[in-house]
Amino acid sequence: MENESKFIAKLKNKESQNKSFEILLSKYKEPIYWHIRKIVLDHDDAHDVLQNTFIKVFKAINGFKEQSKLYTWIYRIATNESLSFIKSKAKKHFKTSEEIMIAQTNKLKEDPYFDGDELQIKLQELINTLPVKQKLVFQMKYEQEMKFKDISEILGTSEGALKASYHIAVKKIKKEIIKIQTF
Amino acid sequence: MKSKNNLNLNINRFKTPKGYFDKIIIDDINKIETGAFKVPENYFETINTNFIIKTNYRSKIINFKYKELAYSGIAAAIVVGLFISVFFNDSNTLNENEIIEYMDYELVGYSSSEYLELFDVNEFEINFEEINNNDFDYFIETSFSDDQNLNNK
Repeated sequence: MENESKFIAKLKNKESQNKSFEILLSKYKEPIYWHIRKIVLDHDDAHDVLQNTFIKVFKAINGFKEQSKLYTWIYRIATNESLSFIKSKAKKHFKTSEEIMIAQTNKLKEDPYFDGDELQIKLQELINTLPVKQKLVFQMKYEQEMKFKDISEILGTSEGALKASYHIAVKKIKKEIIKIQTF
Repeated sequence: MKSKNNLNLNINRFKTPKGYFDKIIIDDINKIETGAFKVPENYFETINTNFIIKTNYRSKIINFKYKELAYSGIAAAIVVGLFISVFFNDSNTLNENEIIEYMDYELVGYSSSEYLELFDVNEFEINFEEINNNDFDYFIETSFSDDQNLNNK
């Protein structure tokens, strides 16, 4: 992609906006989809959140002040949108977000778009037991191998606190895995 | 199975439908791990600008389980209408400023217990200088709330 500032200027320009947005979409739809999917777990839900995310990107691009990288800005929207989606779903079903995610994890066994064995489902359950920020930092660092600096921009948290959160998350999961492997 | 940080986590547990990513070029996102999750066949080919710009939000079709509810009079209709406006409101009506405000809002804050874990310096060393003022403020604010709750009890 060309120089980011130039590209953002094109995204803000009404004449070049649609074409530039097409480029943006082709570049980010897949990584953003997977980021969302790891949070909401279900494909249909991820599809809805992906759509909402890019609508918000499209509508808010003129207000993007370039204080962060475009990529971390989009991830931030996707993260917020995913968490809002879970909260909204929980509200509709008169449940907590945690209960919704437990139910969602239980559905993975029958999900045609999930290809994990019992252990993978158990690991997903373990990830779900982490507090939200630990879960996010674990997924972004461990699974997506993002830099702490970028995660820090996305979550609006200092790098030091994120490193500590990641350390705690890995430690908790490791402890539980050892328990599973022992029995 | 990939081993990293001594965890035997399969980061490929998520899958996608066959051909989903075939027509996608990604030049600076080096690594996308799908895990065991999959997506429907050719799904990503359906994601284009029309999908976002023209389609907007998918219509939310509400299927009432009991049709007779629809005939239960004006009062019921008002109640249902209010319910829909609260639970199914279309965020597509947000203006630009509202969206920016929404994005600046931090949805993911640390809980008090998470802060306690962070400050457990016996477990590992934390560079306190790297923890920013907002995080400290949040910690102090939530700690104060907890103290207040305890005192009120």
